[in-house]
Amino acid sequence: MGSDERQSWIQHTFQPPGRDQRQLVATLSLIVIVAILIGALYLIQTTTTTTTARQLQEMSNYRARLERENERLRAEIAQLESLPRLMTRAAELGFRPATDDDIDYIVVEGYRYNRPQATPTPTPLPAPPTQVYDETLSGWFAKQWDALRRQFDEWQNEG
Amino acid sequence: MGRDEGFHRRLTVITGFMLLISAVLIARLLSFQFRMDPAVKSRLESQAQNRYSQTVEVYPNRGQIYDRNGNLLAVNSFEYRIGISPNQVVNRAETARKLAPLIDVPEDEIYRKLQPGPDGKLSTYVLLKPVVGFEAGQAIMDLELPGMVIEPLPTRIYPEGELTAQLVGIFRDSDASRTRRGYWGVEGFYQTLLAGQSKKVTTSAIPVLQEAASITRVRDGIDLVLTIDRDLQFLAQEILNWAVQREQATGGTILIMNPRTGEILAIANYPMFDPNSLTPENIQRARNPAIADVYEPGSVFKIITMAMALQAGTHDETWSYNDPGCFNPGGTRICNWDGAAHGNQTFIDVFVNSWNTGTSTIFMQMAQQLGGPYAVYDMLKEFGIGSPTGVDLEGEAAGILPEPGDLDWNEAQFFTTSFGQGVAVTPLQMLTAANAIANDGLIMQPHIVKKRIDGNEVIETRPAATHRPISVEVAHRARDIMVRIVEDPASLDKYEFTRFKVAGKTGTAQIPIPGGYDPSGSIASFVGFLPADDPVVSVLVKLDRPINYWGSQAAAPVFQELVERLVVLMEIPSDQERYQLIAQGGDPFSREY
Repeated sequence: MGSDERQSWIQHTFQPPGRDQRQLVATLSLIVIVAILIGALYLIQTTTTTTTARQLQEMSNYRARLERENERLRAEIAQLESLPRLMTRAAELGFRPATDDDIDYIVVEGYRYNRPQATPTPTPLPAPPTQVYDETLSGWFAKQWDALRRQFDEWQNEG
Repeated sequence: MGRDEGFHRRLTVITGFMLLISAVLIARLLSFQFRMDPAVKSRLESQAQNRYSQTVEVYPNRGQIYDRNGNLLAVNSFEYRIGISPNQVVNRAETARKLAPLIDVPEDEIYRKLQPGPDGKLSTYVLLKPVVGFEAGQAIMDLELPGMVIEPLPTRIYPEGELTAQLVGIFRDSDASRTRRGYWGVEGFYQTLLAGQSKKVTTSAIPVLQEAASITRVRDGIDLVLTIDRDLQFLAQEILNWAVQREQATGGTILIMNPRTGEILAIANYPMFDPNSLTPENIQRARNPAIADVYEPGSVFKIITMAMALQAGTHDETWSYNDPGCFNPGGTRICNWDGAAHGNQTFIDVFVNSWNTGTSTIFMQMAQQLGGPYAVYDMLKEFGIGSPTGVDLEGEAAGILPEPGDLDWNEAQFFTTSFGQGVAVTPLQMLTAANAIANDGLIMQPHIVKKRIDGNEVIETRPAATHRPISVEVAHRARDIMVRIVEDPASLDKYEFTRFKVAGKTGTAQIPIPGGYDPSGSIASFVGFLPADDPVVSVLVKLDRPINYWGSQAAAPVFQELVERLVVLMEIPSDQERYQLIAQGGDPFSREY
């Protein structure tokens, strides 16, 4: 668009009173409608985000509460399995502690107990740190590039 | 026409005026945005920050404590601190009515707290109840009353209660602050590991941002697996309670260890400590007497004298002396327990019959032959006497070993130390020293934590030797004499262990009081291990002021009663069966002990 054309458009839009103003009204109406649309979209988005966030917060609170209840139940189970309680219950059922006289060790002729060889448990190797990408264009490019390179490496390993 | 002109002129003036006001307002708005006074800007930003975000400390889950078989000894739970923001309460009367029964506070008191203050303003926070139980807290949450501030407070539950309280310790508020921490026992010693790492997190009041911030993880505490066997602990406590009642003793301790590894399998004490009661009288019992209280061990200490003499080479089984019954070395009068003279007595007789004159003579000759008492004290230190064992429990005492040059030392003490008077040890120190004889001369580091579990990583505590006060050969000779002490028909400490060979020694210690010893009571004890030729368990029994004065009458029967059931729980076959298994090439101790 040349400078003459721009000049004539400005003159045409802001022409003096008494001339036909339909184009001005149409342009302004368009701007207003676009602004309203953007506003509406923004409001819808904000409302949805806030609602979802509230739901997330409620779920997070619920999770924390469930975790606490879980801990509490674990404690209750441990208390129900405590030895003084088990011994009392066993005595009520007529059991008594065994003594050495109650136990006979049987020596089986020819049996050789083979104690399993203790093998050291290998310490698991720490997982390689996960690459962190930020939410920027360069972050997105880095992510795509890494994914492509990984695919290439896998393809090369398979080959 | 003139009227129209006037109208247009006024309209122009009004339009101009309104435009001017608009321009001023816009200019002011722009100045707020771009040219605000820095002080005002800072204050407003601070207010905005406080309104939309807050920094809170997020606490990690405290590590749990298990016994060696995976039974929980300390587990986390929650209590709640109940507060309210009166300025957010909609219906004060209803709020007070609903809360009163749940927090056990009178309704009118709650209502009063919800009223405006003297300045006529409603406060932003009022504490209603510092601590309520888990169920009450959950019930208050379910009410969903506006303005409630319900803070979860981590707490501990000890499922075994009194049974393991003195060795596990407790978790409670510190004296200085409202934060909670572990005290005594394992809770105190491993406070840093169990506590994990809290984190200060700034959370936003804008929900979506809060979610983003709350994903930051804190480091949870490390779980601990103890060497304690819950079944053995119960057995030891049951036998101790029975013994204390039978002997009308004021207190007592039973300590069970694996001499090969230094693992503590059980520590039972009387009186017991209730971890759920915080009365001052109960709190005083929280410390563990097996590691924190020292006592004069009496004749059980003679096994240390015996091992030292054999190790130094100054004495052996062929040595003998003429027992005078009483004599006066170092300006003090030392007598046998019966006060009688017994003529020629051998080295073994000294320990089988527990002659004080014999051990004093041995100490005297050792000092003469080794170049002075210092060499003898150095050997005592090799057994760990006078130093803390370094056990991983909070509150260990070092014991007392007065040495030449100390203000509280005198020459008489040197002789009395040979039979366990004038020297003070903890029960753990005494058993650890005796374990050197059971473990071929090596003293293992006593410990109570078997494993540390950090997420998927398990760190095992490896048994570690701290000293070698005696050689393997000396340990075996000392062990054989300890077997004679229990088996010799002439021994006062003879006991019937038909199925097992047991090594042991009794002790009857006088109780020191200012100016001398209390004639009215004693500390009766027994130290032993079995099977004598391949020990897997060592035991110390100690009773304070039993009705039967002598260790052989009060403590040794307790050891006998304990061993009868201990071998069942630990799956220790009788010697005969064990030898048969060994002859076949089997391993008698298939269970890990």
